[in-house]
Amino acid sequence: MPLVSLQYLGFLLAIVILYYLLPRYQRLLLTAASLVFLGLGNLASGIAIIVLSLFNFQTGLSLFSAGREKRKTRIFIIAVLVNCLVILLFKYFESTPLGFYVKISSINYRLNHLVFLLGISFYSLQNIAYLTDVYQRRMNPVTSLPDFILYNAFFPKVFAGPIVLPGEFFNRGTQAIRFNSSNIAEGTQRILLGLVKKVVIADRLAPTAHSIFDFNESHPGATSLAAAYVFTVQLYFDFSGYTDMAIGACMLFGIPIKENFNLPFLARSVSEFWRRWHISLIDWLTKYLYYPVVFRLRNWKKWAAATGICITFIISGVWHGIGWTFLCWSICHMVFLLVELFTKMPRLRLAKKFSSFPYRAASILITFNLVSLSNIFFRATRIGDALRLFRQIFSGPFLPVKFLADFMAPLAIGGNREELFNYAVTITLTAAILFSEGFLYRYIRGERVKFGFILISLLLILYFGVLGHAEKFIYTQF
Amino acid sequence: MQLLRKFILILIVLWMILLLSGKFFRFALQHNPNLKTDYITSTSMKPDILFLGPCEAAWVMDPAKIDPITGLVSYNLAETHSDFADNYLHLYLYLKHNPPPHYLFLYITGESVDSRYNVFNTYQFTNFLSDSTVASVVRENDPAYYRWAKFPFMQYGYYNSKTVFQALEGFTDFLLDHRVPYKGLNGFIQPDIPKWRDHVTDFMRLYPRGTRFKWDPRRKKYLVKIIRLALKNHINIYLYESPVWNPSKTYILNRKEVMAQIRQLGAKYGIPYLVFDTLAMSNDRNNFVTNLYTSHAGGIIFDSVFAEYFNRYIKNSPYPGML
Repeated sequence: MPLVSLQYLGFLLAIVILYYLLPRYQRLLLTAASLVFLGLGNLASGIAIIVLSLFNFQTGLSLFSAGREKRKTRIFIIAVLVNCLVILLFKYFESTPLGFYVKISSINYRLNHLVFLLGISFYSLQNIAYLTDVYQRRMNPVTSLPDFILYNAFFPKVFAGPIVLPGEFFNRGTQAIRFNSSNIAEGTQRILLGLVKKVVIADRLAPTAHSIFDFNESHPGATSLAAAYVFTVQLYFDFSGYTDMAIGACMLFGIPIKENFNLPFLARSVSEFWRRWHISLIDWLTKYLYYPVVFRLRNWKKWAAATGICITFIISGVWHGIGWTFLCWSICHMVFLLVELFTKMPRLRLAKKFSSFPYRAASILITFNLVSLSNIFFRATRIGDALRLFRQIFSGPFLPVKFLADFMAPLAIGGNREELFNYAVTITLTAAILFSEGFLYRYIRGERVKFGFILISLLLILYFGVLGHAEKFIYTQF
Repeated sequence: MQLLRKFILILIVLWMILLLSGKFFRFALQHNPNLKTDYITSTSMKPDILFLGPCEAAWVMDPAKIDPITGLVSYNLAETHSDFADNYLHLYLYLKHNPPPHYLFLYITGESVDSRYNVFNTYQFTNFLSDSTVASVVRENDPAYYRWAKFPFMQYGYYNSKTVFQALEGFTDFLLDHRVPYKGLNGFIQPDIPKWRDHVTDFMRLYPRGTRFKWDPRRKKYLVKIIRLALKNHINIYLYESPVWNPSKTYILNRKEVMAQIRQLGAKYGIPYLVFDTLAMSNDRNNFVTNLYTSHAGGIIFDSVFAEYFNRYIKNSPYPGML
């Protein structure tokens, strides 16, 4: 069931109504609904989530009851390895030529469903977090299997997070959640904002990025650079749109889920960017990977942090996909963060020399450019495509004089006007939402229904949204 | 309750806005002379020759060059990126509002019968869904759109990347009382690609060992429907192919076979298939912008060759032993 569809919205509405009509069975209802939701779309994914939940649920209980510390450690390591192996196996299969063929082939649609298990990268991280917390006695094991399955399979967020840490999910208590109009108003508005981001911005930008990245043609540097910017903005609106829809749907059930983004394009450094982008993944990586590494190597001082950064970003790259493109992407970020780490003092001195606004503006601009350039690796299908774009940006002609001339020439004979109009609409809407996003989040909070916001959002979707042939959410592929 | 009341109020206001928007789009599109479907159904026309087909016909057959030689009036009804279902509806709507022409030339090449190339452009028929023939063709070719089109405004909203601009353009034309299409009164569309675009290289990269065209049953069905509709209206219909850049033919492995099948199909209805693939112009790349579209220079050559051919073999004696 695609998330951008009337079926999904109808399903969500039906479950919300049942949820508040049957307060005693709320968790059971959500568990059943999540399994139905997954099973309907992809039976293999539904089965996989049950099997892996059972495994981790049982391991949690075994960890708790294991007497000797050595035995406990052995169980923990094996269970974590199993979870990692599951992710690696699927990531590895995706990166093989056969996996790529199956992924893109419509003929093997059934096979595609069997081998690409939805959300597995996301809930496997949740499972590792759970096992670690139980192992380190930060929490007691969960004793209700349906609750544990819900932790993994909760349908609004199962495809692409946000990744929920066990403490946040299981410490909510067991009492029924009562109907609250504020949750419904805010949740609905949040879902609408997500839909606008996805179908009005991300899907309108997608063909532009596709036309540069996926065709082996030579472009002037400015065009290739613009493609990197366009993809970065597309990725943000696509992923944050999904997140808004997920958080909004969770709000409808009165279940708070933590934010995944915080205006990342206002970041003044790459480290700040990572505190604002895919926050739930970075929180997971920080808590379960970076801190343990830094703690273990604490005598190395600054080099402990550097080693932690390297390990964290290599793992993050592998989590996104096994291949040279993701490895290069993660190395880029690793290098950016290492440079930041070792140039902290000179940068502080520089900041003092300049007045705050120009320095801040320059920092934002540089950060955005670094992130966009690294995203060339993230978007490119093959490393050769990424290198071709870099070659075009840094060598060869930069200004797209010929491209502009070729585009403008048909205007005189009535051609390309529609394309020009659509470009103008896309740029205007993207800029408008990008600049008003902070305000919009504040505006839709609270219990009041924002009549104008809902109406304008719906009209934007109907007038300017890509309907009928919406693109898949990018992060549901990880 | 207050929350529910507010949501219902929003839905009612939205419903009303969408109903009004639908009416506005209908009106605005009707006044857009650049949409061939809306233009041919709102303007009275009486050309002698009609050209039908996808972009190869729309971009190549220029009545301004052909008419002075033939001494007749022609109109180019071809639409870019269109398939036979699309062409069928164009012809159907044309004949519903205008008298039949004497001659109809339908462009057909190997690519036309293969579903990998060109599509049914639903957005061109958004204003004609109340017509049962149009509705049934749209339902068959774009069922998802057809389902959505039952909701208010969605017949326009579904393909908004096309219709919003076209409606605004139509409304502006209405305000300015502008009834002349930007692309000319005779339907010829000047190619947007002004220079050689080496898509043969892409083609060779995609199919290094060459490609084979496959007959799509739906394409065949609508091709036959076009032929029958023309014959029913007593139009002298001809299938034709404009020049193809010779070096690209090597990569179409079953070209001759497909051409023979097209010829056979035409013969079944007693109509000829005119193929201009032995002209010297086909060897010179300067006459083409892609392997199928002629350049400005190539267009001048072919339109004059075509008009001369028309004068010599077709004008006074339709179907003169061409079969």
